[in-house]
Amino acid sequence: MAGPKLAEHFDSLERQNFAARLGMWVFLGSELLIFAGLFALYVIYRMMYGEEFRIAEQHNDPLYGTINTAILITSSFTVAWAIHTIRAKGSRGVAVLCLVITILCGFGFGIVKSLEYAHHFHEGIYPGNYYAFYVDHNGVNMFTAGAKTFFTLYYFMTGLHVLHVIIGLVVLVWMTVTTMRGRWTHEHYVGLELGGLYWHLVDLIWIFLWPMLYLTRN
Amino acid sequence: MADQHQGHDHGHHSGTPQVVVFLILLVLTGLSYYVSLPEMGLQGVVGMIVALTIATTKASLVVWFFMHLNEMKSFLIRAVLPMALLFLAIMILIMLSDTMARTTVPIHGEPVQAAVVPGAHSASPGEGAAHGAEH
Repeated sequence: MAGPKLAEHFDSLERQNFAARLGMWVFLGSELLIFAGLFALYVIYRMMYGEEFRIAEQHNDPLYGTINTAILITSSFTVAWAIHTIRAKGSRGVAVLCLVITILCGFGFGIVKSLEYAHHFHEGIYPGNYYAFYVDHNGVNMFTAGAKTFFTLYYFMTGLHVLHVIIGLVVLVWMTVTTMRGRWTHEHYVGLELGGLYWHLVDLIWIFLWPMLYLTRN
Repeated sequence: MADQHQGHDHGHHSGTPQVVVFLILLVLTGLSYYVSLPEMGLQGVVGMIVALTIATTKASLVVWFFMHLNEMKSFLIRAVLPMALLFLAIMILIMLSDTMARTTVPIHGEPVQAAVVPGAHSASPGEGAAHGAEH
């Protein structure tokens, strides 16, 4: 296998790796700021429509959210373990297995999310002006401005997050293929590390979406 | 910036912290779900603070151990996430300083059409055209 390539504008491989890491972290910071607007909207609207948000949130089944949280945390661990295995000169097969499990977790997350969306659509819960949930929830009217705003934000936040899951899956496939081909060694694994960072970001965002959309309902 | 030593110890890289952190994350997830149950009586703001505190703890563990920020000795790399969070805080605070200071707030419990789109019932095509001409 050919070793890692040193681009001519870098003095050393160490410098090149530092630039790659810094670039990735800045990218992750800007990814966070994509979601920042939605987090801010959530805070503002929650203060405006506290009670209606709370009731709308009660309608979200925490079972879906909790299963998905467990799935993503597991996948975050498996991708971290894959990179650890490469760094500790462990078996390449173990690393590939970990990455495959991560991919399966990603698909599992998508399947649970689809089931949840289907459930919501079935009830007439659509984003924005398509919101048509006329049924009362435990005797409380759900056709309110607050509930509509909550579910619109819910779709936007989870939708944007699922988009990141899909991109992360593409990255994970690339990581799996390159690992199988033996591209990474215990000294040179930066590409693998950066791909892993992206998947951790997907997990990080969900760690906050979960309490915001499922747990703070009392 | 001259010596950005990453501080990677290639020889003795232990995986124990990763496993421990994984288990802690699962426990915290279970805990967060458990205390959110209505029977636990954590209501309103208290419930939110508890939920977000646990979430922040989990996120910190992921960033520090899974994402290996503990090995990134570079100040530049370590400063990125706090800066992003600072910008998030500034954005939320400035937006709140507007919305909290408004004298007219949407009326709670009003039907969607009336509360969310003020002026939707009065907006006729003619009026829209007049507005367009003004600006």
